Amino acid sequence: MSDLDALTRLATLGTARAPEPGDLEGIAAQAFRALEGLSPEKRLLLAAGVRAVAQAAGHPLPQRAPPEGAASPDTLDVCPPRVSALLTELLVSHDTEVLREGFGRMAQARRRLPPELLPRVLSLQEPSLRRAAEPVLGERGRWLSRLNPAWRSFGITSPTHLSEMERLWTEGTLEERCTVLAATRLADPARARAWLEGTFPQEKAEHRARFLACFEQELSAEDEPLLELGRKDRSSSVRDVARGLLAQLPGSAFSRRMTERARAVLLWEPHSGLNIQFPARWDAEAERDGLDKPPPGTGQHAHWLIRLLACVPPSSWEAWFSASPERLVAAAGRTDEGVALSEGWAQALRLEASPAWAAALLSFWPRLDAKVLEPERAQSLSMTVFEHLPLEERSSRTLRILRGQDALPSLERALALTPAPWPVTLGRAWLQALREQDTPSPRALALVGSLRHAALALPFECLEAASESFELTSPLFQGNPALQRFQQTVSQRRILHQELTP
Amino acid sequence: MAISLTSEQALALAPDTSVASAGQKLATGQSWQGLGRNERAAWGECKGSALYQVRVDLADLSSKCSCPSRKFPCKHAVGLLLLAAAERLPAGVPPAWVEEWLSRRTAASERKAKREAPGTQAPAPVDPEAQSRRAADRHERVRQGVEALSLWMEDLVRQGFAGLEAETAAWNTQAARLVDAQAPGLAAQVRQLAVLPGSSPHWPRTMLERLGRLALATEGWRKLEQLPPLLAADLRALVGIPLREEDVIARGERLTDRWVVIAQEVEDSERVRTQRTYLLGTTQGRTALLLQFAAGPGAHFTERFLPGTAFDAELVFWPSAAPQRAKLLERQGEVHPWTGALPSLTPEGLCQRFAQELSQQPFHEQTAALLGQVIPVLDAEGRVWLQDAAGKALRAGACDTWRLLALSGGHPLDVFVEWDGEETRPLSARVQERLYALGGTLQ
Repeated sequence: MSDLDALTRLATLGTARAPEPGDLEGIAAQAFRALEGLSPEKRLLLAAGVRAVAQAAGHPLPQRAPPEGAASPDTLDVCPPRVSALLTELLVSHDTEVLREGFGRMAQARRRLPPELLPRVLSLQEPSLRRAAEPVLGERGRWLSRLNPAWRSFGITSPTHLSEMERLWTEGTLEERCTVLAATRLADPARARAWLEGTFPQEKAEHRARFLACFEQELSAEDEPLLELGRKDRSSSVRDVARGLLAQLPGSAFSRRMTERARAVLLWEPHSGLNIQFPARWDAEAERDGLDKPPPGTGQHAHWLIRLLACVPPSSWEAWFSASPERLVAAAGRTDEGVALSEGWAQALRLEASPAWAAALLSFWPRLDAKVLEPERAQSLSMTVFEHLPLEERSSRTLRILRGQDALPSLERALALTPAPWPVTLGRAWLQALREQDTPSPRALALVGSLRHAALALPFECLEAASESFELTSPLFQGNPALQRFQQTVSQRRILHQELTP
Repeated sequence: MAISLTSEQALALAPDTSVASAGQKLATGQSWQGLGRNERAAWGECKGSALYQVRVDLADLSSKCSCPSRKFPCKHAVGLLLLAAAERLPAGVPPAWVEEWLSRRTAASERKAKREAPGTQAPAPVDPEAQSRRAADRHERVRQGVEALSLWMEDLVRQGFAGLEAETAAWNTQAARLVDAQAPGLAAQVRQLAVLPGSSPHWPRTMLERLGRLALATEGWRKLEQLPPLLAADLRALVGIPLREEDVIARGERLTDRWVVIAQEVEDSERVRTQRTYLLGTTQGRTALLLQFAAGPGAHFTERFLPGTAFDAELVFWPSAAPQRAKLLERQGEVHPWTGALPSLTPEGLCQRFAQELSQQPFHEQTAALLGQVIPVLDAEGRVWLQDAAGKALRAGACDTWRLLALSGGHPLDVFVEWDGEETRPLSARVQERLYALGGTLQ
């Protein structure tokens, strides 16, 4: 209590216990003297009141050193007011996708965020948004981010310091470890490999599979020993990942073995077509290479064929058999294992994209009887093919499906698998198709189901048409929140386009 | 010239967050037809359960919608304001339903002006005898309440603060007594004391200072008759005896200037919504605080003041030795955005002004002013200072600190603050002629 001033000490103890304040200074002393004759309590209260008013009036202003390090002048212009109004809306509604596009457009147009939005943007957590915002922070944003410890890491897409990365790899959560492993894999594949080799046997099976999957980036022949370890793993999910990666290394021992076996099994006779001939028994390594017992519902031979063919780039068959994909697929259809063969080839498209093979397979499956190939499986097979198509090819396929010239995959899935931005022709066709709907047919539902994706994927050339009002009376559209959100997103993207065209 | 509105300002007009977000969803052209605006108004028909006619008077941002919503402005009006803010409204000629509404509004404000013009209406008949008896009764009750408060405070310091920490009921009891004694202003002050014990290491000193200032007021009340009339008016206000608006109009100081709406905040309590709006006179540099009250959260205020805009008007100040609270008597001319210079003070000047005001009115708790060209600086302890070129610094208390720092970037800017003798509370900042809120509702 010794650091209390005399008046406060008196008030804390109570005048009943300590009637006199002792030594007073300054205004308190003056007031106390002037109030002589009043009760001790009143004297104390009034003197304290006088002192409080005097202090409020006579507050000494601290003299501080001139501040250092103002933000450097910005070289980028601030974004136009309509864009900053739009960004405010998007930040309030947490519309991540449009926000990301907005930052991207601003960066292209060499614009920056207005200062008042910086704290909100610097507080964004989502990594892809942070990356997108970095180029539009400007000098002011970088200056501000240095003032707040929580913002300092802004702009560092992965922890820069190797020691920090390594610490996360050894001590982090599963997600953090996956993130640093994948990031290191891109920057320094050998280091990432050394890390995983160091701990591989001690990791849980599920983690081994996740970590190994990170090696798809920058995959090289040097990874083969580690992948071999995975191929022999006791967990089947780890073995699956390892085999998938080994198959992508054309020179790997696994790849060579599978190719040899596949060639021995699948024979081509120009007159009668494809002939399948399994050996009486596989060699000792075969089971570990994936030629094991089939999952329930799949025949043994079908299982083997799928596993074998998935490891051989499809163009190899064209070369070996001197036959086109159409001819080979058709020939497969005449065997007992047509579906299995087509699935193997579909999976092999992962090793090398081939529009010709994709076309052959996608027109083959719809011709099959539903008893031979269930519609759901046809869908999933066609999606496998679709995912491995080059983007341009994929969007032109989607256009064909939209026009009713193709059936697989379903319209909704094809649209969902065609990433932004769509080509103008696809965008126009989609809009026209949507406007033609007035009853809740499967086609209409597929189009309504793709509204969100389309709102983000439509190219700028289509936005004006997309923002025209829908004069639709169908219950499909009336008051449909998805349609409202679509129109809102389209009009927001339109503003970005109008205001930020470089 | 119509108001240039920002999206933030449009959102701030929404009565609550659900209306704000519903309004945002409507802020796309697709929900609307017949959108348009001219110098005076914005309008459009919004598709909801029916087609609603929505119109906004851009002169004061009043709105009207044909929807059945009880919230005001409704989501349709907020949507329309957002569209106006985003400059997404085409210029056009207002349809008949907009014109009619605008002319009704003009007529109503003219009628109101006529009614309020001095001398046009006889004051309501009053019974002077009954009135003075009521006043005397009330004065006696307040006197007894003030005496009891005074004794209670003396008890506190007689027994000492050391045992206060665990007490809570005593404060409420004392506050309730003051409410019974018709001294609600003092009751509010006592309630504020209840949170002090244990709240900081320096709480005994803060407690003593508050009690001391309260003791000055109770002592002053005993000598009310001898005080100068303006100081007596301040003391009545502090105790919580309201002055009727007609008395304010009759007795208060009047001041005509071009006023800029420099800061605004809204406080919601259980029963009352309070809007505090600060005006700054562009030629005379006077600051005026306009208080508006609305019953219940979500209720709307009859008059709208948009930060960053200016209008010519005559204000009348509540009688006071350091006038601060004011009432708008009459707006003259249109509301328009303000881009001109504004009178400001240095940190030193602000302290001097407060000292001057305290010497006139020792019960004065805070003053407000625009600090010109100060730099917000973050110190090693994470506190923010507002510092002028000479290095004189004022501590900045609670506000949206990061927004303040972002707006400045280490360069000088104008900050409108409340100053209580110890700490500033930044309310808004002005950069390149644009005003940004730093607290209150414009977050």
